[in-house]
Amino acid sequence: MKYKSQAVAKPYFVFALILFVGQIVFGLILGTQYVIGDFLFPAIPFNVARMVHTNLLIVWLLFGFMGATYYLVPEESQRELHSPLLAWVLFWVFAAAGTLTIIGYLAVPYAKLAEITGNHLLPTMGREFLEQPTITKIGIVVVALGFLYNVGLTVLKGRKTVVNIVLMTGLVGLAVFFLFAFYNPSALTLDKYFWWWVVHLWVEGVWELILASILAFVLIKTTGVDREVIEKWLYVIIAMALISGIIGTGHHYFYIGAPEYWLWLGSVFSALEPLPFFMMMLFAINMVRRRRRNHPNRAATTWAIGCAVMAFLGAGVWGFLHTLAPVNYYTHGSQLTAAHGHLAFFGAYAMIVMAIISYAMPLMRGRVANNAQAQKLEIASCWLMSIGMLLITLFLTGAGVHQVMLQRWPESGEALAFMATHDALAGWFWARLAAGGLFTLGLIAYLVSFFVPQREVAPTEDAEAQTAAA
Amino acid sequence: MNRLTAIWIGLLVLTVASYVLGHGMSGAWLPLTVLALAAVKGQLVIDHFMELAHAPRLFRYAVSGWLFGVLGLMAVFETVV
Amino acid sequence: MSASPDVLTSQAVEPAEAKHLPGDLAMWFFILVELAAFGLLFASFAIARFLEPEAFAAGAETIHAGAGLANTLVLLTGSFFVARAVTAIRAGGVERCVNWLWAGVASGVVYAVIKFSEYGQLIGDGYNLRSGTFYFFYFFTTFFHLMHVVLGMIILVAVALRCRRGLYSAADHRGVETGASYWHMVDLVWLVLFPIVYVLL
Ligand code: HEM
Ligand code: HEM
Ligand SMILES: [Fe+2]
Repeated sequence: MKYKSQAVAKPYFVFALILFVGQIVFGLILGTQYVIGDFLFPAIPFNVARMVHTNLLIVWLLFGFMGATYYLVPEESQRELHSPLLAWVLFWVFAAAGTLTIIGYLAVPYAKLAEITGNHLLPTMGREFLEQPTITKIGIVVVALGFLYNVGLTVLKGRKTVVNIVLMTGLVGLAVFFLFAFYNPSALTLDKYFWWWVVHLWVEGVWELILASILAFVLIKTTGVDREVIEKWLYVIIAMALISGIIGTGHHYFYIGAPEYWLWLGSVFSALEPLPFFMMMLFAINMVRRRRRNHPNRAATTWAIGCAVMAFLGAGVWGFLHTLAPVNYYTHGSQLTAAHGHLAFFGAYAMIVMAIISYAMPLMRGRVANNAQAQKLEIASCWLMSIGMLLITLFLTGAGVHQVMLQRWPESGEALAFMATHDALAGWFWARLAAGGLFTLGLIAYLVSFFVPQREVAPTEDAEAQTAAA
Repeated sequence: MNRLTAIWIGLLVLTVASYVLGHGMSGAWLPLTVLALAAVKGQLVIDHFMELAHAPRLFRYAVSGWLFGVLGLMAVFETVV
Repeated sequence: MSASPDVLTSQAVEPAEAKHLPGDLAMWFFILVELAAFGLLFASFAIARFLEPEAFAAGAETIHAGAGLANTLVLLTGSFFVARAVTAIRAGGVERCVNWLWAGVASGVVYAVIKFSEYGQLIGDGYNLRSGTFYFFYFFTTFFHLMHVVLGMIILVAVALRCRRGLYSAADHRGVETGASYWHMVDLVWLVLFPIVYVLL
């Protein structure tokens, strides 16, 4: 750690991981409710658990991105953060708002929460991922503005690097597209149309910039490859992401009532969307192969490569699987969608946050890298979570294909009803739950790795030189 | 005459030719001829304007492959339909 | 592309005279993606025409092939101008290079004017993006291409301005080549688009 103010990243990372644990707890509840319908009913209905699971996911990723930014921007700009105090204040505001919202979800029925928070004044609630009460959404905007102001000034006053600029562009885009969460037209088609401007243009647009820049930062630091080379890759990846991802939004407009031409546009452009993820994978593998130094933090490299590979699988391969209109006609909103959503979110965004945490956390705790024992455990946890998630994905894919065969493929009356199909798929869902258990073991191992005693020195003789070079 | 100028004039002539063919005549051979003319023009641009004739082969193959792939696909549809 | 995992890092060691890729490698990757996007659009066009042959034949009757012809000639000429700009800078002719580049930009302007008058006529005749699959493809593909012409013009203007400031020379003119390569790509795409949309139907 070169600048004192980088340390504000720490509370963001810690809180992100706490929320991650919460997300997985609710994932396990959901997985159980899938096979034991009235599990925890009426205390925690499925819809509430689902909302908590997905909202915690988004919020912990946002905490992770913010932490990553606070860590990365001063180092890239070569100056202290404009205002560490503001960063701390916003941390508490965001953490309090997030916690209160989750408590609200769990303590009162959703309709009641809407009433209490005055949803009728500016109705924005009730849509997947955007369930937060309107005041929470306003709070998010305030936090985002303060955050952008703080890091924006730092970037403007300091050294401008491609990593910095790409990251800032991504973050500004994230905030701008979130504004569509306030647009809530009553026509269902219009509502969905712009809902995707938040959801799709986030994960397949501006978040990709955030992902690529954090990945580039970690790789610059751990491999010592020339910045110039890495920046060139970054340009290529960004260009590919934007040219495919923006019009690629059309892959959600096939059957929602939007004009028919989206069948063509969505299919053509989203078919190109795997390219940036493919390039990112080549990029990561290539940089590590060409590394100029062996950074003692091997765990961070593992996360970085794992992230690039799993993101390509989840977004690139599993996304492509159902992105062509004739295929999506049968698979829309099936278990296949869930398979893809899980692997993509985990591979791309959960893993990039863990990659930067893995790199930055030891430095913030006063060492270049954790000792061999802690790293071994961390790397094992990376593998466990990845394998757990791959199994979840495979079982859900099996369930999805089976579901399509039973429920959607048959042309006439022999198609199975929704609930009957659900029962027929129970085997897959049990298997998914078991895989979720494996994933949870990985998560526990990961958390434990932070507490492995660090009596011995980090496994490098020239640790000082390494930090200096980094 | 400069090499580039010659190629430029050649391209203009081929373009007018393909237009006249397409709009003045008919026949089973016509679509394939028009596509073949486009392939020749495209390859001229690739080799002499884009200068891929002297570039690492991978790039020449990729761009020429694109040209012939797309036109070839059109030709298949022309002859099948 | 998959065959070239390390191409991005190996450019520096290529022997200069033997094999020369004009312009920046990153630009070439961008060009390949652009070509892929257009390629998929053309393939979709072929499939759509296969599905609705009558509608496509009827639609083709209504578009203005003459404008397409004129624009092909304009773009080819623009490409020629820009190729001359590259030759000029290689010989150290900074001023000539700038002039050829402006000529290239001018060709883009002419192209855009013709394109818009073509759109104006069609829209006046009552056709638009939503008049059926044929018109969707016609309007979208040509407009998407027009956007690329505009981007190409912006790049050429930037290169011309930098050239005028003396940033390029016989020894160092990679930026000119980079801009030129993009511009030729836009031309190449049109050479395929022209017969498919304006001539064959
Ligand atoms: C990291 C990037 C990505 C993430 C995090 C992600 C996540 C998701 C999620 C959560 C959904 C479900 C949304 C809902 O609730 O309806 C979804 C749907 C979808 N995704 Fe992605 N995705 C990513 C990239 C991609 C890519 C690259 C493609 C295409 C190549 C793709 C294709 C699709 C399609 C077609 C759907 C709609 C499925 C349906 O009709 O039910 N995704 N994605
Ligand atoms: C123990 C592991 C997990 C289990 C058992 C689990 C289970 C579930 C279940 C049952 C749903 C609801 C699906 C439905 O509506 O039918 C869901 C939704 C979702 N989960 Fe998980 N989850 C787990 C971990 C994760 C992780 C690690 C991530 C991402 C990093 C994640 C991201 C999501 C997303 C994005 C959705 C919404 C999907 C959509 O809209 O299609 N989950 N999860
Ligand atoms: Fe999407």
